[in-house]
Amino acid sequence: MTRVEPGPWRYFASRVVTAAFIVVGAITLLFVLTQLVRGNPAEVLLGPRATAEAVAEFARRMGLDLPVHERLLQFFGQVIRGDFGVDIISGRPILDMVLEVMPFTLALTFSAIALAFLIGVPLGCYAATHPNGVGDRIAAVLSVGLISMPSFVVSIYLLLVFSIWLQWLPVLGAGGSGGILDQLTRLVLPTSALAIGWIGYVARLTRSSMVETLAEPYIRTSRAYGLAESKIIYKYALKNACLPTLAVLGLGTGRLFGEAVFAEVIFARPGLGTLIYTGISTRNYPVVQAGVFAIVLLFAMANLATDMAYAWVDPRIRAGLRGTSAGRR
Amino acid sequence: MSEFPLLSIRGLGVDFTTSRGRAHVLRGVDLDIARGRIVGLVGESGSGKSTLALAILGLLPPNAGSVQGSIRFDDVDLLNSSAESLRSLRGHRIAMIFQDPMTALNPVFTVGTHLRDVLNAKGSGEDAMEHNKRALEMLAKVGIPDPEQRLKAYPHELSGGMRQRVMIAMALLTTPDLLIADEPTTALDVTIEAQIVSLIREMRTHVRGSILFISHSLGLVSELCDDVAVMYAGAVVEQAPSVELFANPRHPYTRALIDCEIGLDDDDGQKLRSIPGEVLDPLAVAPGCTFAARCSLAEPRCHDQAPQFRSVAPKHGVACFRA
Ligand SMILES: Nc1ncnc2c1ncn2[C@@H]1O[C@H](COP(=O)(O)OP(=O)(O)O)[C@@H](O)[C@H]1O
Ligand SMILES: [Mg+2]
Repeated sequence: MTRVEPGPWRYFASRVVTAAFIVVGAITLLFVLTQLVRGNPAEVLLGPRATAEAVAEFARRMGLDLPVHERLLQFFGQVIRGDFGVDIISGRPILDMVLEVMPFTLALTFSAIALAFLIGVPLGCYAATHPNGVGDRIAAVLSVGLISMPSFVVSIYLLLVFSIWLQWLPVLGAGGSGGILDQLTRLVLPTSALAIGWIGYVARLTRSSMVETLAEPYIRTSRAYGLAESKIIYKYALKNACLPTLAVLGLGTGRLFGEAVFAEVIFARPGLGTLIYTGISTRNYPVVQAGVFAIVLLFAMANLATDMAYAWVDPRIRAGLRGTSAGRR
Repeated sequence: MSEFPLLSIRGLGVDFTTSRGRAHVLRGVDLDIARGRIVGLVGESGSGKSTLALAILGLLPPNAGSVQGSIRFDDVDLLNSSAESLRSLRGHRIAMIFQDPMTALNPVFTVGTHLRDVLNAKGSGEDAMEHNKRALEMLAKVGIPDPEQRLKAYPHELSGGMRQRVMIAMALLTTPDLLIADEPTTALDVTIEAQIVSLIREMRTHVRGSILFISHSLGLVSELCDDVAVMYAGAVVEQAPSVELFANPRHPYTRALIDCEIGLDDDDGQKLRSIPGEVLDPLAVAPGCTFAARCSLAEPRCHDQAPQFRSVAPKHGVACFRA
């Protein structure tokens, strides 16, 4: 192996390798789990009334008669080619089905993260700069309350209040054909349901790292040079204080995708979550597999993106002088 | 040229609230800084030098209790100024160089950002291009090679000596009336220290104002400063022009300090500790002289009556009954 020079490229390469490991590990795990499904998958898929010949033929077509390691390799091969086979229920290529719903899940999770940051970060900054004030206390109670509330509970309450009781917002669906405005209004409730817990989380994290940062000697330097307090907080301190929040975000996307599954099901939105959910309830395992794989891929990519953002903010990471998540907390 | 000093501190007292109780860190400091002079402030570690510097800037840490006494800067009463007017003095008429250049610069901003924002805060009305040009010139002036590159560098890419030069550049960009340098070389190794000291000496040609040079080393201060103030356990015990102080030390602590340093090649806190006895605990209440417990000349009144700072010769003040 050639030696990689230290610095940005080495850092980038190491993060890509990590992401690749996550994906490979997850595919293997996924494969193992499908092997654990009780009984012959062909039987399960074809149902109790299938003839023995049909089951054998189906198993052969699915490659179920091959040894385990060959099937694993085959599975990897399929994944790399993006060939997840054809859905036996709709007769459509599974890849198409996944790609069709992926944008909905992406829109939902990204808007939830954006909302959490747009509200959580300023809230945290405010709390940090007014420690033990009324606002800080209210924010503390609220955020702890919000963090500990499961998002599916929030989803149901939001639905009840805003869609059914007040009738301000449409109840269900994504508004696929209703134009961009309709799509956006239908995004409001599920996004809020996902974001609410995260707002509290981001606010708490930002507050604590902001308080820590404001006590750093370099902040005293900024003050000693007469910089405006708002500039000190939102420029000099925030760029340092957002690092732990960013680091946590990377890992948090995993949880977020999980929560998105519930939100999609509750709000009857198309998306990877709904795809997986219907797949499970109809025992359509190839579709479940492909859906879970898509989520794993998104998770790995979100992680990679966070690491890049982290390196973009902190030059010491680019230089390979310190690690990401482990370094600060 | 006006006669009254640029900075005049009287009876400055600062307490900190700590988990062990109230720490009396400054116990009535008297100090004058004349215009255009370099004043050395010497005292062993923990005597309250940095606290004094922060009190002047109005940047005491949050656990500092109410501040006693007065600090007059030119015609401004610093202790009774609004936060806003203090802020406009900082980085404009008063600048500070901190002890540890490794932590005093923000790790996620470039040297250029640090320097340009100092000019920005000063509000000179110039544009960004002009600021950049001034920053470049200043980096060259403080002896940083390849300033174009360094302007884009982050603090971690520079050595300790280079970072301290950046701090000095920040301070000089403000063209202050008062420059406070708090042990600017203590965190650096000896060869770098010599370079920084000669840079500070050179700075005199750029800084028309006064410099308060804080150090724990009498040797360093005697090389560099016009006047010397000696600090012990939160109070200035003696102040005089350098030559006068070394020729004619009056306070027993100053004498002990000079004795400890004489005939020794290098300077550091080690020798100061060879004065018998222990430094006064900041938590202790001391009605008398803070040095009495360690003083060989102490008489009964030294223990229960605080000696006032008084003039014993022109420009030579001392706080001691026996001087
Ligand atoms: N924020 C603070 N809280 C409590 N004690 C402090 C604080 N800052 C400084 N001290 C104490 O005040 C004394 C003087 O500290 P300092 O001004 O840093 O001295 P010097 O700069 O002369 O070494 C020390 O005993 C130190 O422990
Ligand atoms: Mg100090």
